[in-house]
Amino acid sequence: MIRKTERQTRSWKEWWDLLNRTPCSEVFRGHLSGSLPKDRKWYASITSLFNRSVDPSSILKETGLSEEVRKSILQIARSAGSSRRVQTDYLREFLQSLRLVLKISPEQQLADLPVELADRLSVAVPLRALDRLRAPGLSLVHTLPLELSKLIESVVRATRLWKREKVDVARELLNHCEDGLAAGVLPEQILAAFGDPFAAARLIRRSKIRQRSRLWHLQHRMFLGLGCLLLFTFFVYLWLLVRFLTAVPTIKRDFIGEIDRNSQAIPEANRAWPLYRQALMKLKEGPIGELLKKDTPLSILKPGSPEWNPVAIYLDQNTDSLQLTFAAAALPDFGFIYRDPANRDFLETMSGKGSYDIQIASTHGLMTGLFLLHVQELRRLFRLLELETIAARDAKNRERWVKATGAMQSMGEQLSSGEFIIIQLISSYYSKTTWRQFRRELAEDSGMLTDRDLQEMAHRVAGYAGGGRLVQRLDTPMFFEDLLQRFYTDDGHGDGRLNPSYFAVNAVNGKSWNTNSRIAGMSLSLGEKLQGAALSGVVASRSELRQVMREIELLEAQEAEKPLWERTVSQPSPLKEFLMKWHSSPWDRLRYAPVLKLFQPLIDAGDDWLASLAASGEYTTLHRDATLVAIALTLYHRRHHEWPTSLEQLTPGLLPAVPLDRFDGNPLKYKLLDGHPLLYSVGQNRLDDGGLPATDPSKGDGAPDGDLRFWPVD
Amino acid sequence: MRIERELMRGAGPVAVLKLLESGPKYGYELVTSLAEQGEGVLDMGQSTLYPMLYNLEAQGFIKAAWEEGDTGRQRKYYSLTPNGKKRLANSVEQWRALAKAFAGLGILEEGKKSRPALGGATS
Repeated sequence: MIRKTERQTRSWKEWWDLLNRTPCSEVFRGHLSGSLPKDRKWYASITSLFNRSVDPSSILKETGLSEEVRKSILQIARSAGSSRRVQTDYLREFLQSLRLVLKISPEQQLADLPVELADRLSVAVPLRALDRLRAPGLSLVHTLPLELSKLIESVVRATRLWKREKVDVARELLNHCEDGLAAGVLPEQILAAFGDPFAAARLIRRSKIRQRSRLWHLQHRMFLGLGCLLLFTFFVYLWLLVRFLTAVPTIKRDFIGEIDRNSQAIPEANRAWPLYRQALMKLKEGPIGELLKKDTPLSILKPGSPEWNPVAIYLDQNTDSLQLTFAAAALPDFGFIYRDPANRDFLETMSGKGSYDIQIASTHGLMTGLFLLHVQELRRLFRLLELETIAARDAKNRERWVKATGAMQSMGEQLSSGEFIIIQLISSYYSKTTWRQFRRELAEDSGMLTDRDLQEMAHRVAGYAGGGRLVQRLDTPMFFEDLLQRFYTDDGHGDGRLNPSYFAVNAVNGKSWNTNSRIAGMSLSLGEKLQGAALSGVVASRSELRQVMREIELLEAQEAEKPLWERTVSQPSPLKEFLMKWHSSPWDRLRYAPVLKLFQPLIDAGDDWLASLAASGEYTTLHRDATLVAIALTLYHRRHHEWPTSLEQLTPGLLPAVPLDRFDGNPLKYKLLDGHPLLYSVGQNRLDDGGLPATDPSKGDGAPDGDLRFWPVD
Repeated sequence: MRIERELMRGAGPVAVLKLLESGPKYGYELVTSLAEQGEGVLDMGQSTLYPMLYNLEAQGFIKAAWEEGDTGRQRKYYSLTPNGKKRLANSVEQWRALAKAFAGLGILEEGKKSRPALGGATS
C-alpha cells in the first residue's frame, strides 16, 4: 500500500515505474490510490470504454480533466481514425494509461495534469498499439523521453514494413534506447548517435525485406515483372495510339478521275452513253416493266400468245427509246463519265433525290463502294432490244432483226473494255445472249438472213473483244492499290502504316465522306481509336501487303493463262486460297485485317465466284466458237443441202480450224441426231454425256451435270 | 577516428561476427563492445547496426531470439550460426592477408603489438 507521503514526493516517472511493477490485481484492490471506491470507479470508467458507441468527448468529460487537456487528448484520439469506434478504442488505450498515472499521483490534481504529459502518451500509445497484439511482454507504457519515443515511432512508421516486422523493430529500438538510458547515456547522446532516421528506416526496410521468405521474393519479383511488362505495354500502346491518330493517308491516284479522263478523251460524238441516258429517261414502264426488271427469261414470251400483248404495247410506247438505243449502239465507245454533272437528272430520276451526290461521293471514296447505276439501268435497254429481236423474228423482218441484234452485239462490244470486271461480265452476258439469238435463228434458218448476213455475223462474232482466246483478268489490283493508299500512309519509299481511315471507310459499301484522316480520326469512336492503335502495331505494313498482292497477281496471271481444261473450276482461286489461309489463322486475321476487310464478301460466299469470274473468259470463248461453228454449219447446209458428218468438213473453207471444247481440250462435240446437228460441250463434269442437257439448264455454264448444248438452242 | 562508409561496409559485419563468436549478445551490448574494443573506429549508431544485423540474419550468418534479460525485460539476442562461423573464418583470413599486404607496402607497421581480439578472445 502506498502511503500518502510517498505519493506526494514521487515524480510522475517514479510512479510510472511503480505501475510497471504492480500487477493489475493490486490496482483493482485499491492498492495504488489507497481507496478502493476510487479504484473501482476508475475501473468502471475504463470498462465503460468498451461501449464503442459512446462519443469520445463524453467519455473525457467524466474524467474531470481540464478543458485544455481534454482538447489535447480528444485531438489525439481523433487523429487515430475517422470512425467513432477507432477513436474510442484509441481513447480507451490512452485513458487507461492516463487513469493509472492519475491514480498513483494523487497530489496531481486533474487540473494540474500538464499537456506535455498528454503529448508524451500520444507517442507511447501507437507504440503500445503495436505491442498490444504481438508482444505481451513489452511494457505497458514506455518511459522514454518524448524525443526518443517520437524518433522510434517515426522510424518504425517510415519503414512501411508488415506489422509484425514493425513490432520487432520497435521493440528492438526501444530496448536499445532503454539500455542506453539505463547505462547513464543522455537522451541527446542517444539521439545524436542514432543516425539519419530516414536513412535508417530505408536500410532497416531493405534488410528486413531480405529476411522474408523465398516464396514472397518470388511473388514480389513476378509482380514487379508483370508491373514492368504492363507499364512497358502501356507506353508502347500509347506510342501506337499517337502514331495511329497522327497517320495521314496520301491519296496519289484518283482512279475514277483517270477513268473519266480516258472517257473525256473520246470525242463527244463517239460517246454512246449520253444517247443511252436519253433513251432511259424516255423509257416508259408499263406492266411489262416489272417483268423486265427481273431475270425472267424472255423466251417464254411468244408473239401471238396472250402474254405478248403488253410486250407489243411496250415496244410501241418506247419507239423513241429504241431509236436512241440504236443510235447509241452505232457509236464506237461507251464513254461514261462518272463525275459528269449531266448525269444528275438521270440518277435522281432513277434512284431518287440525292443519289447524284451519293454517286459523286462514292467516286471519291474506296472504289468498292462505287455506284454503277448506269450499268444496272442499261439492262432495261438491252431487254428492250431482246424483245425487239423476238418481234422482228416473228415478223420475219430481216432488217429489224439485224438492227436489233446488231445493237445488242454493239452494246456488248462497247462494254467489253469496261474498267471493272463487273462491266466486262455484263458485256460477256450481252454478247452470249446475242449469240444465242443468232444460234436460235440459225437453228430454224427461216431464210430471213442472207449468206452475206451470216458472213458479216461471223466476222463480228469472231472479232469480239479483239478476237482470239479471251483471257479474263481480275480487277483486284486496282482495288487493292486504292485500298493501300487510303488505309495506309505513304513514307515515300513504298511503305506506310495504318491510319484512321481504315475505320472511317465502310468497305462493304465503300462510303467514305472524308479522305482526310485527321477528320476521320476525330470522328472515330473511342473504341475504334483504341482498336486501331492496337491493330496498327500488328497489322502488316504497306510494303508487306503489296508484296503479298504481287504474289497473288502472279498466281492469278498464271491461272488465267491456263486453258479451262487444265483448271478445275471447283477448286478455289489463288486469291480465295490466300484469303482463306489468312482467315483460318487468328494471327493472320489480325495481320491482314485491311485486306480481309475488303474481301470479306468473297470469304463469306460459299462459292468461289472469283474462280468463276476468272473462268468467264473461257466460257465466252466457248460460246463465241460455238456460234461461229453454228454459222459455218448453216452456210455448209445451204451450199450442200445436207449437214456435215463432222466438223472437219467445215475446215478450212468455213472455219480455219475446228474449235476446241474449252472444258476438255478436245474438239467441240458434234453429231447428227435424227438427221439434225447437235453441237455441244462436255460441260463442268468433263464427261461426254452424248449431248444430254443438264438437269437444271438455267445454271448455264456452271451446271454441274449434263452437257452444254449450243445448237439447237434449248 | 571514423572510417569511411565503404570501409565500414566491409569491416563492420566482420567485427560484429567476431564479437558474437564469444557468445550471444544484444544490440546495445554490441554497440558498446564495438566502441570499446574498436577504439572508437568502429563506432556505429542504431541506424547502422540494426540494418547490418538484419542483413547478416537474412544471409544466415547469425540468428536472433527474444529472451528475457537480467532486468526481466525481453531482449533480442544474436548468436553465430555455423555458416556465420565459416564466414567469419574466411573473412578473418582475408583481412589478415590484406593486413600482410599492407604491411608489405608500408601502409601498416610490421611487428605491432597484438591487441586483445574483439569479443575477448585472444588472437
